[in-house]
Amino acid sequence: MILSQLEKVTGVSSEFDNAIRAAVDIISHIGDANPATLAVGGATLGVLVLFERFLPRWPGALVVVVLGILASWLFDLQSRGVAVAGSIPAGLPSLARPHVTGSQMLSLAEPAIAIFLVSFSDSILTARSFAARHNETVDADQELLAFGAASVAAGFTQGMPIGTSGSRTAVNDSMKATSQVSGLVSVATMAVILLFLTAPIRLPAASGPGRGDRVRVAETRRRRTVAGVGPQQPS
Amino acid sequence: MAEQSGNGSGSDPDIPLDPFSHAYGGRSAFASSTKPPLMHHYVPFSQSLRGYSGGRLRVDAVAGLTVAALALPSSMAYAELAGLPVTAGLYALLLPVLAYALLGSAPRVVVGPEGAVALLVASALAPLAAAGSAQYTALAAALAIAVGAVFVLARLLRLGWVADYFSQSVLVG
Repeated sequence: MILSQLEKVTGVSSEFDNAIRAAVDIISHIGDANPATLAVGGATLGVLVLFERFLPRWPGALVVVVLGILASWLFDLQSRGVAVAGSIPAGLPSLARPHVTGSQMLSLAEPAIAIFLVSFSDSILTARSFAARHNETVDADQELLAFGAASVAAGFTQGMPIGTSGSRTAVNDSMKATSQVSGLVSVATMAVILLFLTAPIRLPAASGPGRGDRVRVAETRRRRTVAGVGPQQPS
Repeated sequence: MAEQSGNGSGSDPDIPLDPFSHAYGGRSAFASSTKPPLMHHYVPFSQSLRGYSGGRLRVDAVAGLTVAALALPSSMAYAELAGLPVTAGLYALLLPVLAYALLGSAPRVVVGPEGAVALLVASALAPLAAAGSAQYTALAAALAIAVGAVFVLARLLRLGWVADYFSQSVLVG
């Protein structure tokens, strides 16, 4: 996982499957990396580490995202070769049934079960591992209902199948969120962005999915230290 | 309640039922005395707001803003990973997150587009339609409904206990 992030931060990818060889390969080719991409990735990591170290009560991740959007806008990062996630289309989805035939729906049954298995196991384990740190319990039957409702809602609003985002859950937890009010606020924020703020925002992609994952790596490391759990096999 | 206590003391004086009928709160003896009201049972969110304070609201609001800021670029990236227009990822951050916020029993879990699921969507839909086409987008939405149906079916069969057998090491990998 760290390696995949390294590829995103440097913009250098390796075709080796072996983790150690891939790492060596990326580091030896670091000279080929786009300096602007490298700068964005490095600055992102630097700001996060500095916030964690000196201002742990501040929302470092939020500051980084805002800085990233500002930098992308001010320095026109896209023209310098930094991958940009693209501009955001305006407007909200409408409630509508997707237009598919009955036989197509039948052919989706098998992948639906596969996605259910992956999504459910990942979600319940994430939920339980975070709940355990706060001495809370997670009702698996209730989670089934909640995910069922959420997935159906995604389908009727031109969305896509969903799962639990481990990285965003880790950020939410490290920001000391106490309830799903945080979820409601994020929905409201997204709605406001889609309705009113689509034009000015251009996002540096290199600091997109990766950033949360890096926080998660740090989180996991800290969690292991706190819990006194021995080193586990990362894949 | 009065009738129960009357029965208790009247039918068999050796077994005092008064304290029990008090504990049952007037409900039938076989109803759990700790059973929460339906609203709390099916909408855990309503229960989590008990004793909610301004301080918690501020912390939750900052956390929610941060999560939204993170979710914005990553959901777009995951939608593209699945071969979908970025709107599919963005729209999956609205109603689905709202539904989970109200119904989910975990107060910190954030749902939304995610890597493993996006890859499964891409591999499932590749043989059915061309990536990026309108048909592909409709199939992805239909797939989400099908997944939701499997979840609801599992709930009706009360399959939640299966989760107790998942190994935590699956998560770390």
